[in-house]
Amino acid sequence: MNNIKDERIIMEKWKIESNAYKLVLSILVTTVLIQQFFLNSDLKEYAGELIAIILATAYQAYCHVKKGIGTGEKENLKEILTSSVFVSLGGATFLFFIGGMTKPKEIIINVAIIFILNFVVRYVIDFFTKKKQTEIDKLIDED
Amino acid sequence: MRNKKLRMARLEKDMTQEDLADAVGVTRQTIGLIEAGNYNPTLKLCISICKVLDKTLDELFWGGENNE
Repeated sequence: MNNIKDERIIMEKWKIESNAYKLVLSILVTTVLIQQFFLNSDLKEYAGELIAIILATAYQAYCHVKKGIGTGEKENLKEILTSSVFVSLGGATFLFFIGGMTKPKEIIINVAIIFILNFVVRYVIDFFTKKKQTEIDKLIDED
Repeated sequence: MRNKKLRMARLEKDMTQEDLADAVGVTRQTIGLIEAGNYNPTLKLCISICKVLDKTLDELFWGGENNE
């Protein structure tokens, strides 16, 4: 029995590391937004941060899908569509007030990109999560 | 909620918190926190503690007049 590691310490460390990860990610997102919208920096200048954010979130999404916890069990197409609309409206507001984007054509294009990206990513995550959940269900049934 | 049952069972076996902690592979602080009711152990740890103290899960971890 001596080989059991102290679960309390492991759990506490996980919590701390998880909070540290959230903190680092928030700082990275903030620096990217500041560089992009306030300092008008070139993409090359903040590409490193952007790649780190994309890789970290992709890894997170992949792990969630792999464990079958990517989305809620009852999430459906309607909910994904609704949330995508809200995210793109939020994006439009951000681009208009903070990003200084005033041309309607520019805003519409960007909102459309945000909508499509958000919808596709969430749909794909939802699709594979449900697939994994079905696999888990089969395992439970077999037992 | 303090776990008096666990404390009593440990004392009945003439074990210190350190002894019990060593026996189940955790730190003394974890046993102290469980007894003080400040940490909810996993079922795996509960079972390990029960085995060491020769008690059942009901006897040590199910609510009763000795837990407050």
